[in-house]
Amino acid sequence: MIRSAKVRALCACVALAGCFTLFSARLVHLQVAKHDEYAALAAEKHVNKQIIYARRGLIQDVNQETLAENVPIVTVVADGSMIMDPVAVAEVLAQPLEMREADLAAKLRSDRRYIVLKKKVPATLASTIANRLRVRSLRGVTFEPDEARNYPNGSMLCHVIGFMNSEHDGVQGIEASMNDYLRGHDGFRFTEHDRTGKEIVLYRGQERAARDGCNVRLTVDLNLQHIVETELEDACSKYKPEKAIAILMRPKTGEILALANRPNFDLNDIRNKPADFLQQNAEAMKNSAVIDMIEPGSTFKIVTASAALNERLVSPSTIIFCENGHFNFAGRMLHDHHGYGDLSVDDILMKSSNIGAAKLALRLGDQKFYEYIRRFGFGERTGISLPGEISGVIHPPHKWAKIDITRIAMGHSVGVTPLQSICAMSAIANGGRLMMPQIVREIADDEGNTIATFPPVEIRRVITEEMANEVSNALKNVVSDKGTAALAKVAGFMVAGKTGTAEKINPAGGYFSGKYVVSFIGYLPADNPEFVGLVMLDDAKVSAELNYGGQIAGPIFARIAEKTARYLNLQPELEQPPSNVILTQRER
Amino acid sequence: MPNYHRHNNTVPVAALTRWVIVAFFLGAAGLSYVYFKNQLHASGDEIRNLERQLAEFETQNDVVRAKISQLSSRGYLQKRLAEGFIHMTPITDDRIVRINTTPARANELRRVSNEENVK
Repeated sequence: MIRSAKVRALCACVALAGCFTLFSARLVHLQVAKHDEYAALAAEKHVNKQIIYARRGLIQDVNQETLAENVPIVTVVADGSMIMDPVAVAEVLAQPLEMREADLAAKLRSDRRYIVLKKKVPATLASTIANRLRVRSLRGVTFEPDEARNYPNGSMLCHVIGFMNSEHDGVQGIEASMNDYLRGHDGFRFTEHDRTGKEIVLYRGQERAARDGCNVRLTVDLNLQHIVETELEDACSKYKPEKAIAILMRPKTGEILALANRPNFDLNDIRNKPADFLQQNAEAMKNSAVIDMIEPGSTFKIVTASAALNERLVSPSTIIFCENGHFNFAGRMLHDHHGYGDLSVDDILMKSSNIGAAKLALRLGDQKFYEYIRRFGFGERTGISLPGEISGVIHPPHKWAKIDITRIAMGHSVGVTPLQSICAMSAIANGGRLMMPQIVREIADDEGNTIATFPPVEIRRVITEEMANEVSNALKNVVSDKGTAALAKVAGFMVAGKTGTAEKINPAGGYFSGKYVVSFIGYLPADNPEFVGLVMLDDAKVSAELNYGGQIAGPIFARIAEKTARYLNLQPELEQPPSNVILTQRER
Repeated sequence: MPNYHRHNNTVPVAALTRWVIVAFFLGAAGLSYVYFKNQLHASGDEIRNLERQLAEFETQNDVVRAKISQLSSRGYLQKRLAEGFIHMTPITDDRIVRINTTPARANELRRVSNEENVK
């Protein structure tokens, strides 16, 4: 009996020990072997990774006037599994969201945990809705923060600023080229919530703060941009060109002071347009100053003349016989607008003689001429911080036909961008030094500390300072009563510049009859240039006898230059005897 | 003769006190734990509310900043100007006087000219 009791007790102990061992084994299995799996399940149920969105940086002009900024908006989202009273929630949301109550209630009856009710709701409105829901103790509606980009100046500088896609990445202009600086880095926070969805702050996990995007400050001055845009708009109303471009640049540093294209578009309209709007209006959205290739026409003669002078093959006074306006070369006739006999090199520029330029190029020879074209920056990207810049087309000499050298000398058979053209003229204005065009001045963090600056970059010396001065002197004569750009004169200032009139290329081959690309590139004050300006109109609708760079682009340049000189407070340099002189005596 | 009955019924005050103190401290520790835990949760809720308020202020700030930029932008001012809300009189050329700012010598007579004269 005693033995039996002992055995029973032992059996009971063994059974109990066995049970505990089994439970222990199961616990070890759950805690060790299955730990990761169950921990993940628990985390999925209670832990959220909350994204802390970084604010996109601002784009500002040189005076820190805002060109692109952010407006907070929200996306209203509902969690169907947490909405107890869909009708009551719909009643609160319907009016502010401008949606039908019945439609909303139907949406909210779903058990789905993520129902997007409305996007792009103003943040202030969202705040009002949240308060109303809180007062009525209604749960299950959240507001996901978002940002909309706002451009206070609408269409002004639109091609330079650019815009963003729905993923908040820049797709055009500075928004695209500086996207890495502007967008910042989103942060995150792991949070736990209770069964009602309320965050348990005590159990916050790993956290990383968002790093806001940097502010990008441009070299563009909005006041100058306004001057340029106004004049360009007036010109477009008057001449109805297919395209128009105007650029202002500081030759000593390469800073772009203003850049405008026509046609243009309103940056704030983009986000409200359908997806195919961009494709349909691609032409208007193209920054033609850096993306379009044109035959520059006679403005290219500065390259020809500079090269010949720099190689000391000619001097400014060297006489070239211009064949009385008809030059037969390689079996093809080259014409001048007027028949000229002997012209000096200065006069070739002043009168814009095609034959004179061709003869200068022939003296240089194919290879040397090609070298100078490349030294002036044609055939390569300038390196400006704008997306999509093209290099243009400059064929190497071994691909030239025999007559090509005479055509290239006057700006035909080459494809260049307007930006390359103004850079080449800037090299002359800057004593022969070619500068890299700059549109971004500095990058600052969200607290205003400068983190990167872009100092002027000299690409290379193209010609000697002495020869640059010689060319500059010749270009002064262009803007005189004897030259082709008498209408580009600016009162009180000596202006240097060159006109260009090129036949418009027909994409189907050859040239359009009666269509021209007219241009003027000039700078002032001629002896100490503060800015270089380019004005270009593609297919201005005027009579053939007026369709010249000096007639159309020259006066536009003069108006822009006059206002710019005033804005920059440039002192008039020309000694023009005033009709009545007021004398003042310095106080003793 | 000793009173065994009385001796057997004596309350062990010292031991009891010890246990009461232990129980008190354990209870106090437990209650403190719960109290502080509640305090932490309450503080957490307060943090969350403050964060929400801060976010709302930041949002309002951004909205106001955007509005200021919009209303002070050149485009908007030009529009208002065109509507005649504000009137600006351009400075006419005959009112502009350019003064040579280069340093003058003592007793030097200086000329002042305006653009009307230049024309």
